[in-house]
Amino acid sequence: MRFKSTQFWLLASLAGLITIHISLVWKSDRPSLMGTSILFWIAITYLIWERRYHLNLESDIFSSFLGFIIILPALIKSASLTSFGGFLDVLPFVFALGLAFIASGYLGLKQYKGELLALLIFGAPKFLPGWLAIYPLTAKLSAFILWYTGFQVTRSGNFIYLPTGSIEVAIGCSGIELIFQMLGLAVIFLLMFPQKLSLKIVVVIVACCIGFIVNGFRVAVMAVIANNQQAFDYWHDGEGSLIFSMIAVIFFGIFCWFFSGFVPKHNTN
Amino acid sequence: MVILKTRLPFLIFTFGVILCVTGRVMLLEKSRNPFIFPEALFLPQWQLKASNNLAKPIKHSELINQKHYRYVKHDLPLDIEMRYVNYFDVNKLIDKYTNISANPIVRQQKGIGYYGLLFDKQRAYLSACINPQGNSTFSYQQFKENRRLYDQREKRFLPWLLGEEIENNRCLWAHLSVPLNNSPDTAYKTLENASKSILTSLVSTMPRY
Repeated sequence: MRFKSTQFWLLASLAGLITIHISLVWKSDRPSLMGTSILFWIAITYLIWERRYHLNLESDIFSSFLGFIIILPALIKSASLTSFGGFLDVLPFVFALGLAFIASGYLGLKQYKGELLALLIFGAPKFLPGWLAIYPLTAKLSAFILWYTGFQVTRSGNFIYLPTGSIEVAIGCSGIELIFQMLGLAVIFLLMFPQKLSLKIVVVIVACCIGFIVNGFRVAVMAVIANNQQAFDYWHDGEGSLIFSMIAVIFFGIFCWFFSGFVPKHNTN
Repeated sequence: MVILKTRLPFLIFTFGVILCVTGRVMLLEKSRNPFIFPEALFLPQWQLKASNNLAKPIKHSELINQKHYRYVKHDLPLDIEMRYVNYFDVNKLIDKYTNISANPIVRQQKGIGYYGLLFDKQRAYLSACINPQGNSTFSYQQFKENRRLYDQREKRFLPWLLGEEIENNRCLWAHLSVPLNNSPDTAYKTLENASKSILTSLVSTMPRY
């Protein structure tokens, strides 16, 4: 009975933390982050739920306190309702780490290493070092897509010129966010369907490529509509950016579907 | 055994804290302090004819509030559109809020900062972003450089935690215009003279964070 109660309060806390994050993202006008957040939270909750009878939910005082100390500043910041910047991206990882400490203690943390890794990848793009910026490559790919589809395109450095307008491919358009979103999904897929190492690498590489290529198309579309400010804003920050992330997710989903159909399930444990 | 006894109350307490924050986050609206525009701007030699607060149009999410002023000197009307915006690239702001399709000349004056001058369809304009610290700016780079000089992020963890915005991307966009009678240069001179006091006098009244 006591064990059941522990489980109940932990689940209620998780639900509360997810609600906080989703509400904040909802208010932050970042449609693409909203889609990813919902997807990741559903996947993580599902993974935890599947293992609910096998999880070791024992923690010591030190770990519980540490977990609380990790969550508390994030809660105070959430309650302030100011503009957040990258805070919303790392919030899921901070919440999950704190709650994992409270639920299973330092020794039990490894039970959640996959989920924590997925959430860490979820928040990583905002904090990547500058040398990882791949936007020159993105500019090349987009220019190539435009050239291949018959546009009169010229590229100089990160600038793409079309007869109708021109764009500069900046860090934000590099596709790193989409690539990491795909990477996080790959981790979740591999948690659900464990594979051997070589196949894991294949899944991860395919996920990154899908993210990079779909973003290349997104930038190409933006170059075409660059002279129409309203359309540009829609595809750049509005719901349009969500559509491309959905396209990437769907492609990856199709790949996973075929992949798990062809490859016999591999049992690691 | 002590652990077992305290674990449940601890979990309930944790959940209680989370629930309170959940309630606050879900119920309260994000608040952005509007800028309190003065009734009249500090503009010696010019006479205030009219000023009105304008409602916030829904489609511009970056606009916090705005006020328009009209001044007159020797029958020459000077229109001043002031907008407090959560954005700072004046080029883009001009694109978004006006129908002007000219390329601005960017000038810099010591003690004032950068501003853009442009003319189109019988009017000449002066546009600049007034910052809470430092000089006025026009382009994206100028704004970022100005913020880099004045923001000291590392010292502000506690204020950040308690809700102050570390990324203050707000600026007070001043957009002045006069009718264009002869050459743009005369109009630019008028605008530059009038803007001097506006671009400097409002700096201290802006919220810093």
